[in-house]
Order: sequence, then C-alpha cells, then structure tokens
Amino acid sequence: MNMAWFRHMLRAVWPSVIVYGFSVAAYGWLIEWIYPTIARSGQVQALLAQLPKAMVRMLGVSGGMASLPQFLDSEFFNLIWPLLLAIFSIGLTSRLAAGFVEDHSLVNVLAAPVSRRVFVITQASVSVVALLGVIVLSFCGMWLGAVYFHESWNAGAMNRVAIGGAVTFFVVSGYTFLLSAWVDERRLALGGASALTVLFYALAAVAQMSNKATWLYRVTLFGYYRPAALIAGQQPLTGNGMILILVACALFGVGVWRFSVRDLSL
Amino acid sequence: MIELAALTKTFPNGRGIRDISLTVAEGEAVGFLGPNGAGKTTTIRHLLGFLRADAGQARIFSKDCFLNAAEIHGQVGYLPGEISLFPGMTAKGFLRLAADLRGLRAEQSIRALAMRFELDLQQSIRKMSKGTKQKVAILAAFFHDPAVYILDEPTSGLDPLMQHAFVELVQEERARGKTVFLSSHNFSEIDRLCDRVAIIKDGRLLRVDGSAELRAARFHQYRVEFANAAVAQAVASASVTGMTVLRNEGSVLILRVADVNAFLRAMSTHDVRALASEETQLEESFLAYYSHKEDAHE
Repeated sequence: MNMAWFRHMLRAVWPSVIVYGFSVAAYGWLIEWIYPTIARSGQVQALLAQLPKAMVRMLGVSGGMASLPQFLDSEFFNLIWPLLLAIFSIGLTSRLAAGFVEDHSLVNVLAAPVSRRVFVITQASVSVVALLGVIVLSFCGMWLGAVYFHESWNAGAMNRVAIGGAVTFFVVSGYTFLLSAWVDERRLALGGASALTVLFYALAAVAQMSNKATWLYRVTLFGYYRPAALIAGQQPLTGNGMILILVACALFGVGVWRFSVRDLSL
Repeated sequence: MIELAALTKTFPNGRGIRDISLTVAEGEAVGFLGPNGAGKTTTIRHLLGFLRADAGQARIFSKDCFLNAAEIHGQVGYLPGEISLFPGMTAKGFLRLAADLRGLRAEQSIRALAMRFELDLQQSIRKMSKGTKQKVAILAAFFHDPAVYILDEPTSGLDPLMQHAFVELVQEERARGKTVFLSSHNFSEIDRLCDRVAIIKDGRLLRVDGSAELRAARFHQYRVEFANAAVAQAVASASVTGMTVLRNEGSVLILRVADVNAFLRAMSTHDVRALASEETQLEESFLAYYSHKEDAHE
C-alpha cells in the first residue's frame, strides 16, 4: 500500500463518507423521532395484524414493532440502508480502478515508482475503509439519536445488523472492484455491479415473500443479510460472516491480480 | 540505457507494432517520428510498462519495462501525450503529491521550474488552460532530476515562448548527460534536441538516422503570391530543381523547396508580390523525403 496515495484518496472520498454517514444517521434520527407515535398507535398495530403474512414478511415487519430495532428493521434496515450502502459502495468502488484508467489520470500515479499492485491494493483499502466509515458514522449517529430520544438501544441486535451489513457490502464492494479492475470504462463496472446487486436483492425479496421460495436465500448474497433474523438473533453471524469475508477477499484478490497483469490503455 | 528488441504487439483490431528494435545510449537523445496511428504511443506505453509485449522486449537500465516498471520509474521522467491531472487540486498540491509518491521533498526544484515556466502554483487545475496543464505535466516530469526522459509530444499546447523555454531546459538536461526519448512533429524541436531520429510507419520502424541525414531531409516550405493566376500557373508548370507544388490557390502557390538557391533564381524571373516561409512538419518532410528516395530506387 502506498501511504501518500492512500492519504490523497481518503481526502478525496471523505466528503462522500461524511455526507452518506450523516444522511443515514439523520434518516435514523427521523425514524427514532416518529417511533413512539407509531409504536403506541393501536390503529397501526391493527393494520399490521390485517396484512397478509407474505406482505408482512416483504415489509420486514414480521418481528413486530415492539422495540426500536424491530421498528428500524421495518422502516430502515430492510430497504433504505442497503439501498444507500449499495449506491455508495458501487459508486465509489467502480471508480477506483476503471475510472482512473478511463480518464488517464492513472498515468500520474504509475509514472512514479508505484507498482500497479501497490496502487490497486491501496484502492481496495480505500473502498473498505470508506464503507466501514459510512457504517460506523451512521450507527454512531443512530445511537446518539436513541440516547437523545430516550429510547432503549439494543446494542447486541444493532451490532449484529451493522456487522451483517458490513460483511454483505464488503462482498458488493468486492465484485464491483473486480469488475472495475477488469474493464477500461467505469460505466461497465457500474452497470454490471448494479445489475448484479439488483438481481441479488430481487431474489431475496421473492424468498422473503413465499415459504416455497426460501431456497432462493441460498443463491443470493442478501440471503446472508436478513435484518429481522439478525435482530432476533436467528441468523448465525460468525459462520456466515467468515464465509462472506473470504468471498470478498477472494474477489478483491482476483481484482488485484487482474489489474496487475492486464494491458492499460494509458 | 533504452533498448527495444524486436518489440511486437498486435491488438484485436489487427493494428499494433511489429519487430521494433532500437537502442538509445546513455546521454543520447533520439526523436521518434511517425504519422498518427503509426505506433509511437504504443511503443512508449511498452517503455512505461503499461502494455505487455506479445514478443520481444522493452528494457530501460537493462530491466524489463513491464516486470520492473516501478523500479524503473524512480529514474524516469515521463511526459504523457494526453495530459489528465486531478481537477480538484492546485498545481502546488498536485506536484506535492507527485513528490510524495516518489518519497521526495522537492519544493525548491518545483519552485525553480515554476518560475522558469511562469506557472502560478496556487492556480486550480480545474481552471487551467491546456497549455498551463502542459506546464504542470512538464514540472512533474522534470522536478525529480531523473536519468531518462520519455517525452510524448512535449510542446503541444505551449506558446512559442514556453516552447523555447522547454527546448532550453531539455538542452541543459542533455548537457548534464541525461538520456532523452522524444516523440514530436516539430522539425526544429527534434533538430535542436536529438542526435538521431527513428521513423515509424504502420507499426514498423522504417529507419533510424543521424543528425546529418535529419538536416538533409529537411525541406523548406514557402507561400508565394504572384501578380496573377497565369504567372502562378507558369511557375507551377516549370521544372525547378528540388521544388514541388503542394497547393495551387490561384495566384498563390504553396511550394516545398529542397534547393533554396535554385528556388530564388527561379522566382527572380517572375512577378512575385509576396513570399513567406512556413514551418515544415518534420513528419511530412521525412515521409516525403523517404518516399522520394524509394521512388528513385524503383
């Protein structure tokens, strides 16, 4: 890793990390603010009871709304949070290799005594650090929100969701990075990674709706990120987490190898 | 110092370079010349380690340019043909980053070069003209005092004063024993800076010549305005030693001239209203010269 380049990249990406981190936290605050109103509303509870079970599962409210984590699950962790993390990680990581080849600015780095391998490992580190930065900022912000609104913060449940999200999007960053290292145009990496992520999410949504389609959880990445199960402690985090970390490391590793040996049109 | 040994690369579209062999000795300057698409940039990309050769080798300091790129770049100053800096920075920030990437502190050298090229280091790259970006790229190639320079179209975008400043800088570096590999279309630039010129066309190295051949190949180009079109036509039809009509624009002829004395003698017998010298492109001059020689051989 080249520390001079790493510092430069962090300076370049930290505004995005701050914006995404605080946006997520602000959204969390909003939900924490309205939580007491919804949770204590008999009408909402009655409405939920009338919904079909498939719809309840689809909305991610099968765990009910008795606690803040369960409410966050339904309103936030099931859709908005993965969507924001997907936009952030795919948007950033797709640029980290292909973007610098496409606009030829990579010449400025490789003309110095910095090998391609060192450059691309540094870029992979930037991707991981930035993703962790957004997750840590957003969870710290939401924890402060819970303290401010005097809501109970189930640290165990929230940590499980944060870790589950982190390892899942570590894999998303991994395949985005691999595509970015493989192609010359950023839009190809962006499009490919986005399509794959939407496909994974759609398969998980179908699996969530029907008991007959739960086998789809085994073929989609988002089978490993099920907020309701993570909050309830029903999903084995350690084993799944290790598998996802190994898969992500393999994807990053192949990306580093490919970028180190391929022709660069600079 | 720089060695290209039977370097071959074929792209999927069938284009590329074939069997390029060339050596640049330590302290020597070689100009690299050829039309667009001839393979100049492909050859330079091999020297920088951006492309892996299908066959043959590119070496600098006797090291393989692809396998040892980072090690080699510690002593190479590269000025790319297409400048792409980081737009969110100032010139000073960019050059400080370039120094950091090399593990150097080079404020003094950067300031001296900036004064020489009249570059405002505080200026934002986003607001720079093409010529100013070119100056920043020149500073990035020269500030770390490398042993070898690889310069791809180094003066494109620079005004004549800055072109002069650049030529002076390269001449000083040459006097200090530096090795230069330079791609250019500018005759006077190569004439002043290079010991030899290598000509590439359609991916093949046509020939490598010394400075004597370089000057012999130089054509002069003139724009001559005659009293009327009939006079111009008469001159165009006349057989004057070493003179070729490039364009006939009515009463104006654009002429390529190999023998200036014969040309002036011929012009003195006609009613000439104006005569102006035009800069000859080295590339067209050489290609015309060699196509002329090849025709003569046939």
